[in-house]
Amino acid sequence: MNIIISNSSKEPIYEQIKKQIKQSIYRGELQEGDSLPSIRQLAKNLQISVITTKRAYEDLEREGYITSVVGKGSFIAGQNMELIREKRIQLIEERLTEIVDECKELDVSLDQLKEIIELLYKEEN
Amino acid sequence: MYSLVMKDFRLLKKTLLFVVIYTVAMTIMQPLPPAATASIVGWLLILNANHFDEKNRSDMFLNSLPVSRKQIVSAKYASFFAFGLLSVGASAIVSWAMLWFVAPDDFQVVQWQDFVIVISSVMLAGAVFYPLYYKFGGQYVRIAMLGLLFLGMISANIIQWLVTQRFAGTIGGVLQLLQSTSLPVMMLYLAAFTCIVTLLSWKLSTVIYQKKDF
Amino acid sequence: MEHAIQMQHVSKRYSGFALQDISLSVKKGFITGFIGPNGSGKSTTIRCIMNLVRKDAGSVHIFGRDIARHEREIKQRIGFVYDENYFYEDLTVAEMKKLIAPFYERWDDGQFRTYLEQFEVPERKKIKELSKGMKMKFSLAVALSHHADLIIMDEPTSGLDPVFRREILNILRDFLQDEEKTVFFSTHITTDLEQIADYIAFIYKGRMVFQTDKESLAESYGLIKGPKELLDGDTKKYFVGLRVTDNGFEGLTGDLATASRLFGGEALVEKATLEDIMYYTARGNDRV
Repeated sequence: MNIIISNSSKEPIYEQIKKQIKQSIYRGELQEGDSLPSIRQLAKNLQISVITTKRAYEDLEREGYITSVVGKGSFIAGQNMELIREKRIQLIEERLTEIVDECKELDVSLDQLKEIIELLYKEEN
Repeated sequence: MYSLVMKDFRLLKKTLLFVVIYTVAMTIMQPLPPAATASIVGWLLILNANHFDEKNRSDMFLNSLPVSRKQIVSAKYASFFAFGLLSVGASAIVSWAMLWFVAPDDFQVVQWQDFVIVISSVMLAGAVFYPLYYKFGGQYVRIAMLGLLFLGMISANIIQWLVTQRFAGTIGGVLQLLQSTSLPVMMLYLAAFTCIVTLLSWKLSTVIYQKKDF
Repeated sequence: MEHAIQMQHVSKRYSGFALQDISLSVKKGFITGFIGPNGSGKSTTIRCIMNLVRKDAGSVHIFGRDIARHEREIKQRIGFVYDENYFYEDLTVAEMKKLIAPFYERWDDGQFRTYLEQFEVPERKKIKELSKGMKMKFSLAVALSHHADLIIMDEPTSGLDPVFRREILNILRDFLQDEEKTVFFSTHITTDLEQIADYIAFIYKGRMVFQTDKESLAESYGLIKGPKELLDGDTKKYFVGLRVTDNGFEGLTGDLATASRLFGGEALVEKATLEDIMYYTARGNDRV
C-alpha cells in the first residue's frame, strides 16, 4: 500500500493519509482483513509523528473503515458494499467535473463529449 | 565504586610509564630517602588524576552515570590509598631487587614503616587537597598549593626561627618524646592520626560535593 | 506509568537567571521536543531532571520514582547525550567504553559494536581527534547500548550538518518502535523537531509556555498575513506576536479557528512552523 504525503499541501497530513487509505479501499486494492502497518511503523516510513498516524487510524476506525485489535494491529474492516459503490460513484462525479470544466475551456461541446464517451463504452478492453 | 577507582587508573595509564621510570630512577639513585620520593610520586598521581577530571569537566559526565555523589567522593578517597600503596609498593620492589645486585653501602631499602609513612602522607595530602578543591575549584587550589610550596621552601628558616625562640623548650621536649617512643608505637599514632583526619575530610568532602551544582 | 518524566513546580535560581515553577510531563513511548531560544533554561531544566543541580523547589519523578531518592536505579535506565562532549579527551573510543561499560548493569557490548560500525566511529582514535559529529555519534552509541528506556538529549544536533542530523533522527525513530521507550530532546533547531517530535514543550525565559502534541499545535497556531488596515484594538488581541511594516502585517495567532474566521477573507492564513511560534512568542512578549 502506497501512501504519499505532501508537506506543502494545506491539507493536514492525517487527512491525506485517511484519504489515500480510503481510496485504496474503494479501488479494491485493500480488502477486508488486510493488515495495515502499525502506527509506529507507518510513522517511521513516512517520517512523521506517531501522533499523526494515530489520529488518522483513530478517525478511520471511528468512521468504520478499519478495526484495531490491541496487540495485533489494525485491519481493514468489512465494508458496506453499497456505501463503497456510492463513494466510488461520487469520486467519478468529481473527476467528471474536472473533465467537463476543461471541455468548456476548450470549447468542446456536450455532443462532442457524448460521442467520445460512447466510443469508449463500445471499446472492448 | 570499584569502577570509579579503576577510572582513575585507566586515565593514568598515560602517565604510568613516566611514573615507573621515575620510581626506578629515584629508588636506585636515592637523592632522598625512599619514603620521601614515594610520597612525592603518590602526590603527583593524585594531582594528575585531578588534572584529567578538571580538564574534561568530567563532573557532569560522572554524575549522569548511575552512581551516587557519595560513591564518587568515596572512590576518590580510596584512590589516595591506592596511589600511596602503588607508589611505595613499586619503590619497595625496586629496592628489594637492588639487594640482589650491587647495592651501595648506604642504600636504604624500603621497610614496613615506609609503607605506613608513604600511605599516610599521600592520604593526608589528598585529605587536605580535596575538600578545598571541591569547595573552591581547581584554580584557587592550585594557587593555594603554590603558596604552600613556597611556605615549604622557607619552612627550614621558620623552624630555625621557632627553635631559637621561646618554643625552644617545647620543641626540645617534643623531640625528646619522639626519640623515646618506639617505632611501632609511633607508626600506630601516625596511622591513627591519618585515619581520623581522612575520615573527617571525607565527611566534609561528601557534604560539599552533595550540595554542588554541575 | 504514563509519563517517563514528571517535573512539578521546579524552581532553580541562579544569579541573573531563574527557572520558575516548571511543570513538565514527558509521555512514555513518544518523542518530546523541548524548544526555546538560547538562554531560556533548556539546559538548566535537563540538569534538574538529571539531578546535576540542586533545585530550590519542586520534584522530579522519572519512571514514577523520585530521582532524589532512587538516583542510581533510575540512571541505569537513562541514556544521555549532551551538547558539550564531557568524555575524557585523551582516551581512545575503546578505552572510554571500557571505562563506561562497568557502570551499567545491562551493558550490551554487541549492540555497541554494531552502532560503532553503523556510525563508522573508529575505535582506536582518541576522543579529541574525533570530529564533533563523530563525538556525538559515539555519545549516542553509548546511550543506546545499555538497554535504556529513556534517552535524554541536550542540544545534540547543534553544530552538525543536515545529513548527520537526519541520520540521528532516523536512529531515534528506530529506537521508538518499542513503545516502552521515550526520548526527550532539547534543541533550538526547530526544523529537526518539525520532522520527528510527537510532543512539543516550549520554554521561554525560565517559564513553560506550552506543552502539547503536534496535531493540536497545528490546529491552534497559525500565521496570518494581511494589510495593516485590518489591525485595530480589537483584532490585535488575537495575536501572540505581530510584525507590522509599511507593506502589511504578519502575526502569529494562538486561536487559529477564530482568527481565520475573522481575517480569512481578507488575509492569508498559513501554517505556523515551530520557528514561527518561537519567534513570535519571544517577540510578542517584548512588544505588542
